[in-house]
Amino acid sequence: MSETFPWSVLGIAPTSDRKAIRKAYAASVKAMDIDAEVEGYAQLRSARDHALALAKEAPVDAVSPPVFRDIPEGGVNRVSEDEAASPPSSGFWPLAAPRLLRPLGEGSVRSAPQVPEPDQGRPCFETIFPDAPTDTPIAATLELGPHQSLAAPTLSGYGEIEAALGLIPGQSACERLEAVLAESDDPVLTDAERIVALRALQAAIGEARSEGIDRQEQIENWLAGLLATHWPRSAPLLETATQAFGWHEEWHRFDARPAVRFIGARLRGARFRARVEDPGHRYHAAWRELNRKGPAGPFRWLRASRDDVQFVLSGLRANFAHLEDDLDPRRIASWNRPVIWPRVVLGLCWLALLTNLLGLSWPFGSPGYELPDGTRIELAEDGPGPTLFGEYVETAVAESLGRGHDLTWLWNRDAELARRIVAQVRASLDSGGGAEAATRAAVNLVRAATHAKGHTLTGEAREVAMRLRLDQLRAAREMAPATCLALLHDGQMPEQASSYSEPLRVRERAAAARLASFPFPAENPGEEDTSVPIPSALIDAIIARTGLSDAAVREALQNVGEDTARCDVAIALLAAALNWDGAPATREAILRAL
Amino acid sequence: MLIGIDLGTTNSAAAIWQKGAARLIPAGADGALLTPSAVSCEAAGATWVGTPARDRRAAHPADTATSFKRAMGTNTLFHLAGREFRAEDLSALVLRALVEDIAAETGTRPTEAVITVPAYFNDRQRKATRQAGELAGLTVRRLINEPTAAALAFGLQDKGDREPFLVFDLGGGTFDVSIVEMYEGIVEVRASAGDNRLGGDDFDRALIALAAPRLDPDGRLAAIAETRREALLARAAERCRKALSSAAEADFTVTLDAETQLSLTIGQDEFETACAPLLDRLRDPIVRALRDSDIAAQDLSEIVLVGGATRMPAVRKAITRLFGRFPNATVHPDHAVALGAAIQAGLAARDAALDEVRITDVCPYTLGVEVAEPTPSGGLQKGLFSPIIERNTPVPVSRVQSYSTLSDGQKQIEFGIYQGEAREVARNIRLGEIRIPVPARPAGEVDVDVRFSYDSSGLLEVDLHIPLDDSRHNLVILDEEDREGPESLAARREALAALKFHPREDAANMALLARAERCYEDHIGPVRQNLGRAITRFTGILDTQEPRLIAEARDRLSAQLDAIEGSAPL
Repeated sequence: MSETFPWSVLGIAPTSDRKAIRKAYAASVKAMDIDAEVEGYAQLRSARDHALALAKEAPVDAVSPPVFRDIPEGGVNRVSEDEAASPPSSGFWPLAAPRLLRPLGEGSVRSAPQVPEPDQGRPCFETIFPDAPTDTPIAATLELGPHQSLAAPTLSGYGEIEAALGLIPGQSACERLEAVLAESDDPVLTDAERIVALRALQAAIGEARSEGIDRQEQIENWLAGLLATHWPRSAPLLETATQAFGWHEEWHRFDARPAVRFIGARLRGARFRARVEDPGHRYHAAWRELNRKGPAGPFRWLRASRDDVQFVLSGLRANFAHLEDDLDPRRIASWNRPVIWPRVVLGLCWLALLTNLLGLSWPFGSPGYELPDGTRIELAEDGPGPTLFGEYVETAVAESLGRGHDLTWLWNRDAELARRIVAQVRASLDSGGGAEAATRAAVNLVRAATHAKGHTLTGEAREVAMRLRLDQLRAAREMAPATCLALLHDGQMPEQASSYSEPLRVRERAAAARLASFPFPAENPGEEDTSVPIPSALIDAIIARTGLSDAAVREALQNVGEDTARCDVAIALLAAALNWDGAPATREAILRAL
Repeated sequence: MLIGIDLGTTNSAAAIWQKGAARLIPAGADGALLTPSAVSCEAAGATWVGTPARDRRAAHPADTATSFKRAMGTNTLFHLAGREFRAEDLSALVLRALVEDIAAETGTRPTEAVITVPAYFNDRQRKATRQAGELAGLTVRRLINEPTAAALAFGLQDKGDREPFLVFDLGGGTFDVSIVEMYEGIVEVRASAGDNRLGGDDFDRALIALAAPRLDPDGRLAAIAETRREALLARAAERCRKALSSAAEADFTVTLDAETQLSLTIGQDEFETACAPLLDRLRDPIVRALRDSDIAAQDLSEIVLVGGATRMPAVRKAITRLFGRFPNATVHPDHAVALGAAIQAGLAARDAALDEVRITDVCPYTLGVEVAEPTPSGGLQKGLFSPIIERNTPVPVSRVQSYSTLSDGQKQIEFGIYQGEAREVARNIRLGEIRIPVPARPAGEVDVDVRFSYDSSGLLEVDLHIPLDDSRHNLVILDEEDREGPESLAARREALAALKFHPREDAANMALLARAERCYEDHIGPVRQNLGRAITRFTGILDTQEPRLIAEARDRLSAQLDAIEGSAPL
């Protein structure tokens, strides 16, 4: 682009006057036949847009709603820049809107969830977007209509539940919802938590409905991000939110928001689960068997047929891979022995018969994909066929471990990882990504596995993993200190494949291939104490490498101080530790902590 | 002469650009500006269009078609008095009636037209509309989006600059949202979105669902024939809904026979509750249009209401709630689109008065190709939708994407061309396909550049280029009907032309008779008996063939009907 773009195209001198820009644009459009000069028109428009953007130049402090990291391709929470940038006091909307709206009072009478509760605090919007232009509190101005008394009886005892959960009176529905979801790491909500969360969600939905369209969308996006981030705790809330915002209409769109697509895959899994947990379901027994803890005993045949269990298991992996995470791996392993061939044939006949029982989410018309151990994965009818699926898997393996490696190779070394890659590819295709997304997901999976091996394994495996980690941290540091910290804390890099340099990818693949010979230990060593004494020799080495003061280094090691410093210190510590030949136990502890 | 036509679900209208202004053309003798989009056939042979056809629906529901715009671009067949029509045939009859009106008013028979379509009409529906114009003997110079037309009519009132405003167009059968900006004579559509299946008809259905169960405790309504029952309920709902636009409550009244009238009072509140699910559906297109144009609702300068259904207080309240302010109802909801079409006609004719005005529009749907992948086993793996032109891109536009072969030695590539937003092509609209030979090379070595060019009247052209051997292929997307060939089109046009119509003079009498019969169907007791006698008397006078006597009788009957119905006709 020439230096004078966009001004050369518009034929005016650089200006921040909107009117002058539009005037120049209008004159040019009128002078051309846009149908005959398609490229010229496109260029003119982009020049105009560029010039207007330059003219706007308003400082923008974007509001940051919860970021949903597990999903690629950002944009989970779109916050309108206009909203954030609009002047806080003079805009007519923030002041006029609620006053105009509330007297009409639609929101307060349509359905119970919108009824303001006695304990309701501030409006959702203000608490989740505190930087947005402020609004007069409205809860107090609402007159209680006749409908509201109907809802009152269901409130009895509710306050005690809230108090027991340690919720602070006066919190907004959104804050209550977030607090309950973030309350613990327990994947399942307690009954009390579920009640509070559902009520808070319904209140938030009701508030969203009574807001103007901009805020409605912001609250919706915020909720989608929140529910996706707090999966699986958010599981009992997905159906309500999906119905309220019509997310099921969006799942199939190619530009569906990532959080909405994620929620869609989870919700369909939950629907399957609800069906199969009904004792009348054909596969109920197999499902219950799989949900038991510990390895299955020799009399497992009495509880469920092998074929049924295999069927449920392969279906889970094919359709809702995340459901398998809830099952005990030992129980699965004991059911997962090689299948005798006649049984498979017989089983397939049964499957054909029973297709209808399971409904749409589990299509059987397509042939399955065969794993190296002979088990089969059912593929979705509308997805790729087994051959193409196989190609996708091999691409994912080659991309993760380097060319020359295939699934069988990996299977013979680390069957668990191989199985996970297949499941990941399947899940990724199922939830709407293409072949590329599947490959990307597999690469991330392998990256996470490499990282995990660095923490759980010792000796050579750890060396390989940690040297790679040093390279990754350095690369992340070059992108942004925050990226580097995210990598340190979560073990994940942001999902921008393009930002990985090719040399780094080559090293990643080599490390992953090397580590394939070191499968995970059967038992995960539990969480260990993460506070490690750092010998002064290493501190000196860090100071030498970073040029920071002794105090700054010590501060960074306490996880305080600037992002940049913390990041640099972590990199220097890792580099120093790898080259250190001091006490092996201390060295191991440091590496494990990084 | 170039005319502008609003081909609506419930009503249609025609307008012309004359002496620097757009003007609506009255339909028929009574000066009404709207022509109901209705067609009715007599078993004896004559065909009715417009007001008399709508009136005939009461007595002849099975032989009368309304709301056929909803079936545009589908293969739905309407059976009227033993004859079969497609939606575009019926639309062509309405268009022809409008053309006759213009010819009668101006003395010139128009040959070219600008016809409006809902912004969210897909390619098939647009093609069907274009074809309806051709069947009516019109050259369709351009299809213009209804909200764009309305924006023209709204914006050119004073030709002043306007910051982005939103056109909220809720008609009888379709809902459109467009965000438009005007400055320096440029009318720029920033984004459009819509719902092809949402309009006043749906609110009527919600009203029927609300009223019918309570209306008929004895099951008398259930006992009558289905077509008649539906027609009765639809009429009652339409009347009741219109009354509810200006009153807190209205009667939902169905007249079964001379003695029986079922009636129920419906309040505004319960109506609003009943149509809450429909009101919820208004939100999604608005959000999409705002998101695509990157404009916040609070920054919109106006919310401009267009379309008859925006008269409903329930809709206005919903809009007020969504936007936090009252909408602008200054344009005539039924006239704006036709007037805008006439302005576009003036633009297309390069009228001097419009020299300084230009419109730029967007394509409301995403256009792309199916990535069809031959598998080694010889089959075709139907792939996913790969967008080339994203929705709400300004048109005209030309975009190119590269695709490559998937298997070694592949000899051909097939591109299915689709319109829509779904990830799977099966959920999108198939526009056509092109299959080209490619040089046999290892997989991935042959690239094909696919260029989509979409012009401002909605014509898509696909150009394929293989850089390897520099071969080029071109496809202009045509619909099934175009492929039928001109002979078939001509045959259908002739078939429509062969339909019998009453002569214009005669038509006024027959229209009045149809209205009297509808009125008769709507009433019971003495009113009905009086009407019966009046109809008999009027048909008797018609038989005398005395023009003076007939004219007098016509005025008398007309006045009598006005008195009974309590208001002048439209």
